[in-house]
Amino acid sequence: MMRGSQGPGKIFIVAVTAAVALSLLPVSLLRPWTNDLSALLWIPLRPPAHGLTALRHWLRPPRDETAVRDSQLLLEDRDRFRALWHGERLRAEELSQRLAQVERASKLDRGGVPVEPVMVSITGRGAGSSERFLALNAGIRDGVQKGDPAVIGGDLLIGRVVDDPAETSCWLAPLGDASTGRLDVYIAPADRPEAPPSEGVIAQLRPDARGMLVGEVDSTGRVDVGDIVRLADPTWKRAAQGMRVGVVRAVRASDRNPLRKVMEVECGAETDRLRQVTLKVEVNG
Amino acid sequence: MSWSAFILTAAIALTMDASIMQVFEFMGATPSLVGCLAAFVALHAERRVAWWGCLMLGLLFDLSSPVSIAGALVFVPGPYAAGFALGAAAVLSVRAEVMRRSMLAAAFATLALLILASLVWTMLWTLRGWLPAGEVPWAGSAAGELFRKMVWSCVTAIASLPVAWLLGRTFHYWDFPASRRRR
Repeated sequence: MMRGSQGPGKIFIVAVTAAVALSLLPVSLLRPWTNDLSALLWIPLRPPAHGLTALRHWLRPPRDETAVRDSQLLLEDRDRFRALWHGERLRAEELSQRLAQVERASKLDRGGVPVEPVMVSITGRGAGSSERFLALNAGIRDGVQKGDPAVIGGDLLIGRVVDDPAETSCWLAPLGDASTGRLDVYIAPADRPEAPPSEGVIAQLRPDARGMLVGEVDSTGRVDVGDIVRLADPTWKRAAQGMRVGVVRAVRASDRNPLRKVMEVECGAETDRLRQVTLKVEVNG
Repeated sequence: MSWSAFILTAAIALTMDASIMQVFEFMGATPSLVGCLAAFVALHAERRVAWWGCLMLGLLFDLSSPVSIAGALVFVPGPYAAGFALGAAAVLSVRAEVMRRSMLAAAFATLALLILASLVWTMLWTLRGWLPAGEVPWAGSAAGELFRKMVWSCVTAIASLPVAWLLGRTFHYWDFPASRRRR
């Protein structure tokens, strides 16, 4: 070990030991101060980062900007209403299932929560090699809440707000991130995208290391490449139900279980190229 | 070393890492200017200053890398900080043997520093995962994540060639021992 002026010094060794100890501290002890510390660090850095992000989008424009504006708007409207329809249908199905039980309907109706779309810009992203979290320039002031889903193009689900937002900013965890966990979805055939959930195949997906979503379905379930995957997960907010998660890209027999098939779903949007997303914010009161 | 030059360059590197560096994404990995800067400091600064500089850069990197654990967003200060410190140790132990102003030396220093930082990062997060209610911020295995980090280290090392040239242009602002001797 190096000594004297050649070595790192006792204070430095204490600092590194403290860093290792901090790495292993429970989240409850870290969150109260590290989030504030990071927010403070990024106060002066966020505006130039936003400007440079705009420059990056200028250098590598999102693909959908090349499309014709009007037709794109129409397509977005169509997709948005289709998603609303799917969402409502899921809700109707859920309610009818509950009504079939003996409980009182008034207790079951959760009430439609009005949702307001908030267009937000992506101002940066988390550092590191697997930097998938996106920093958004909207927060509590805009009514953003934890778990609010983010979409583009009307019904294409990008992810959801992770943790409580700050006053004017929040972090978005994309679908492909490990933090998404398991997703309940249903799969509609490519040639019948309006097929009801009862006719679709129900599946549970989880993100893999490549950012794809993988899951297993019964080998009797009819799933083909190109089929459309939509969210039907009660742990997500109602505004996210029925939204398009992605497209089935591969289906193969399971090595572990011959009675099941493994499918790979590609998320619909490349988050790396996104410039703006729409947050579906619940309006309270 | 001039701390004002260090702070200014670190701020620029952090900002660019979070925004424009994605343009240079290769094989799914975005090169990191903070990693290049850490290697530059480890190569040229006084030993003790190099240790502290790399530790600080690692800490700043940790505070720019949010992870989601049990549904909560958290910045864990430590994994990169400890990793960069160990990486600096590796660079400091060999820097006397290389031509420090060479861009190739900078690339190798970046590679060595980031590989060690990645090892420490993965190890600490794996340890966290073993704790009660512990979670890791990756999908799949730790080996897979380590492989992605190795790719990231290589991509950053390649990117450090022009970055080292650029930082070399600002050498006299840094007040490194070598630049003092030149004066």
